[in-house]
Amino acid sequence: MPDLRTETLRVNFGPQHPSTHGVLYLIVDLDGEIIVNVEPVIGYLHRGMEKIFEFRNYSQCIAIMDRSDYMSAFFNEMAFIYPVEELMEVDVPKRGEYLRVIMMELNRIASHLLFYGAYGMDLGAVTPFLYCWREREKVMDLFEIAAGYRLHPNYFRVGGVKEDVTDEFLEGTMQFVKELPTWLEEYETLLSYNEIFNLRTRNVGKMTKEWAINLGVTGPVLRATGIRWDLRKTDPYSAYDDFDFDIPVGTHGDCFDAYRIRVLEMLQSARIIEQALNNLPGGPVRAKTKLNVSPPKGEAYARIESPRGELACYIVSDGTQKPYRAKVRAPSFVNLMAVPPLLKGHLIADAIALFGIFEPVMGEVDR
Amino acid sequence: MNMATSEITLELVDRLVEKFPETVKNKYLDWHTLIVRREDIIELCEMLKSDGEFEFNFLTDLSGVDYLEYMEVVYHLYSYELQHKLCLKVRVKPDDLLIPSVTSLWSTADWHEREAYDLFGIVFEGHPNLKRILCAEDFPGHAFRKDFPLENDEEYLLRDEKTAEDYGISEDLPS
Repeated sequence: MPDLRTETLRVNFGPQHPSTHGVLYLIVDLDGEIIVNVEPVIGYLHRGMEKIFEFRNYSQCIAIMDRSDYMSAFFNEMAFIYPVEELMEVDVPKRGEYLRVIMMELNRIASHLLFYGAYGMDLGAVTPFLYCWREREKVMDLFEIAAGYRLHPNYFRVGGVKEDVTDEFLEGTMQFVKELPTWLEEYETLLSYNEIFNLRTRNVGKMTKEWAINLGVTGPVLRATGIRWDLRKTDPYSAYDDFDFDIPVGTHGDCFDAYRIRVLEMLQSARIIEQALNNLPGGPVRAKTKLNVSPPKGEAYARIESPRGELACYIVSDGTQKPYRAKVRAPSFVNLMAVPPLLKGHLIADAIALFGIFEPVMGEVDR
Repeated sequence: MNMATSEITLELVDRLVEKFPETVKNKYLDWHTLIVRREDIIELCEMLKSDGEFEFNFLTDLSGVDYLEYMEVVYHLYSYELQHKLCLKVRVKPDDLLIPSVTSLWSTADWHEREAYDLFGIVFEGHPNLKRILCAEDFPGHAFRKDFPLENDEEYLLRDEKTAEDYGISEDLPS
C-alpha cells in the first residue's frame, strides 16, 4: 500500500474561544492531534496604558492601573504605588499597611477562586464555576463596603489607603475567613479528588527549574517546579514581615501541582487575614502627603507578588505630577512567553490544560 | 528562608567597570546601575550570567525609555542563588537605533525586545523573531515615542462641531 501523504494542519485557536482566557489568539500547527508548534498572537486588548500614564497625574494613574490586571486590582494599585513611595520616602502608617495587606489577601483569594472555577470549566467541569462565583460575591460585597467599588476599587493612595474601614467590614471579613476552610474542603471534592481531573492534569507539562528561571516564569508555576520563592517571604514589602504563613511548593512540576498550590495559598491567605484582623493597630490610615504627589526626579523599580507572579513597575519621574515613563512588568506577559516551548509533543487537550494553569489575564498581557 | 534581595556589592560593580572601562557607574535608590556601551553589552551579560560571583540568571524586565536626545534600554537583573540585583542601561541615538539582542542568554528577553521594537522602534540584532507584538502589523509609526500624539487631537477637539454629514452618515431615519 503506498504511503499516505500527511501534512500539518494550521488551526486558529481564538481570539474568541471559550477556553482561552480572554482574547488570546493561538496559531497551532497540528500533526493529527499532536502539537508541532504554537505561536501566541497578542495585542487584542492593547489600550496603550503606559502612554496614557504619561498624560495623567499619579492619582489618576492609580485608577487606570486597576484595569491592567482586572482580576487582581489591589495588586496593580500596590505595584504602582510602592515604587512611588520608595522614591518619595514616604512612611506609611501601620494601620494603612495592615489594611493594604487585608485587601490584597482578600483579592488573592478572589483571584484564586476564579482560577479554580475557570480552570475546571476549561477542562469541562462546569459545576465548580458557579460555586466559585458564589464566594467571590461575598468578597465583592466586602470590597463594596470598604471602597465603594467591586472590581476596580481605586482604594489605595500614595501613603496609605483612601479612608478607614467600618466595623461592618471587619466583622464581615472575619466571618468570611472563618468559614473559608469548610467550603474550600467541599470544593476540593469536586476537582482535586475527581478522577477525570487527575487524569487530565497529573504528569501533564513537565516544567523544570531551568526552564522556569531561563524564561522568567514566576508565581505559582515557579513554585510548582520546586523552587521555594515567594516575594512576600524573600523580599518582604508592606507589613508581610509581621505575619506567619507558609509557602506551598510543588514536587512534580505538572499542572496538578500548580493547581493545588493555588488552593493551598487560599488557606494561607486566610491565615494572614485572620492575624491581621486580630492585631489591627489604631491610628491614621494615610501619611500626610498631598493627594496629587510630585515625586522628586529619579527612577524606581519595585516588585510585589500578585496571584500570577511577580508584578513590578518601573517608574521614571521628572519632578512633575505626571510620570515620565511608567512601565508595568506584567507576570502574565512573561508567563505566556514561556508556554510554547513546553507544548511540543503534547495533545491539543493538554494545551488547554497548560494554558489554563498559567492563567493569563489578557488585560495584563496587553496593557 | 528570609533573605531579602540586596543590592550588589560595590566591589563587584568596580570589578565590572575595570573590565569594561567605558561603562559609567550610577545608582538610583538601592539599584546599582551601569550605563554600558552597546558594543560591550553582550560580553558583559555573558560575564554576568556565567561568572560565579555574579550568577545573574533572571532577567526581570527590559524596557525602553524615550529621552528626547537619546533612547535608553533598561535591563533589570536578579540572581536567585546569590540574592542580589543589578540594573544595566544602554543608550542609543535616535537615528541609529540598533542594539544586540540578549535572547541567546536569557530567553525571557524575547517578547520584551519585541515590545520595545514595536513601541519605540529599537531594532535588536540577532533576535529570532523581531516583529510587532502589541500593535497591528501595519501600524504607522512607533506608538510610545514622545512625538507620537496620544490622541488624534484635531479630531478630538472638533468632535462637538462635527455633524453626521461630515462622517458620511445621513440624518434621516431608515424607512
